[in-house]
Amino acid sequence: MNRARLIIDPPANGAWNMAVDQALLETASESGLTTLRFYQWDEPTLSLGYFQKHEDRALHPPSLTCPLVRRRTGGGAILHHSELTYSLCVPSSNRWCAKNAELYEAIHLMVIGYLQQKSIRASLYRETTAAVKTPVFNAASNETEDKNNRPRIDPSAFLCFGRRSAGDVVMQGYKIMGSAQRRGKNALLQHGSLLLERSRFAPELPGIEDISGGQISLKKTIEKLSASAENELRIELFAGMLSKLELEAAKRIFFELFGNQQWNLCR
Amino acid sequence: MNPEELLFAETHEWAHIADQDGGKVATIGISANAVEALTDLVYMDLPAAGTQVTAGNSFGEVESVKATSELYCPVDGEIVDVNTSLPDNLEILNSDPYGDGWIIKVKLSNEDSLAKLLDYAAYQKQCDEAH
Repeated sequence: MNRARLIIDPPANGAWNMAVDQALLETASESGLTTLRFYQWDEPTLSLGYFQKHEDRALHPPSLTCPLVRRRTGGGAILHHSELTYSLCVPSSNRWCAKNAELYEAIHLMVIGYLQQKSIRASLYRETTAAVKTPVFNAASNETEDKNNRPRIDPSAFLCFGRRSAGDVVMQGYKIMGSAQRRGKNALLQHGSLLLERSRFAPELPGIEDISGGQISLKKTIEKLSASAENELRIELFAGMLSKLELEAAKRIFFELFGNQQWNLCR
Repeated sequence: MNPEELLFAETHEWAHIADQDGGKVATIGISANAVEALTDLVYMDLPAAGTQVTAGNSFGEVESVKATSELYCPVDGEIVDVNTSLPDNLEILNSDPYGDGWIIKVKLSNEDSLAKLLDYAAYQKQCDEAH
């Protein structure tokens, strides 16, 4: 069983959070260390998918006042507010690195298993799923539901949680978790968001608590998901933090990329 | 092109080496295995002709529904041609990864990196072992 590091970080600035994930990817690539990290954001922040145009944030007026950071992973934009974010950096020597969809689903199944323990029913989205609810903020009408109280559907939604792809976690048709990967030569970064509660900056997206009526403890969620990761990914986690070298790398990446408007507004 | 006549990088790019104007030019793409693993491709970023590239370094990026992946150049040299229509027609990578799905052409500055590339059989073995 491979040893892997567990980092539980306090809420931080969006650019710093992305810089740390990138530094951990470099560590996985250079030293072969796997790291699972849980973190939050110290203020509501919009993260753009790698290929998205920053002007497109105008498509989503509720989040216009939030700070912006561009991720190195693709997909749609995410409004990080009442959520738990995770990242997993895996070196190519780890068998999970070769499995795109499998790793995506493995992490999501852990979340579904944890929610089941709390009697909250969630499932993986499959492309054949009949009832798809894809809430999209409709700036023209200011409505997110149609006349039958069903969320509006838009396959090209600006926000990640307004889109669907196989393997997303859905509850009653609403997406409550999605992940994205960045593949390097020697390592893989996968990070994703678990939507806990509706944000006023993305009011069309209900979280687990809104849908289930139950409460989610962050501490317990992290404990349970860490234990599941040990079982499912066959790793032995040890609690750790960024090394001095990783801190230096994260600072460099912060200034070169995520904390730099040239990067964030490059498309 | 017949994939059995190509060279492959461990990072899943293929190269077809041809003599041209007294030098060698590599036509480069990504393997059918890589296209399949990436699933539905949605974006591709490519460099401009004239860019100098180094074997093992990134020359572009491709995004699928799940993952953003870097494209690594298997040879050293200068990009002399780019398949600029590809980013708007990514389905070609699925239908013809070893033909119309070529990505760049590189005029080799040396042949040092070629020895590190795999033949088709060795590359297939690598793919089989990863599963």
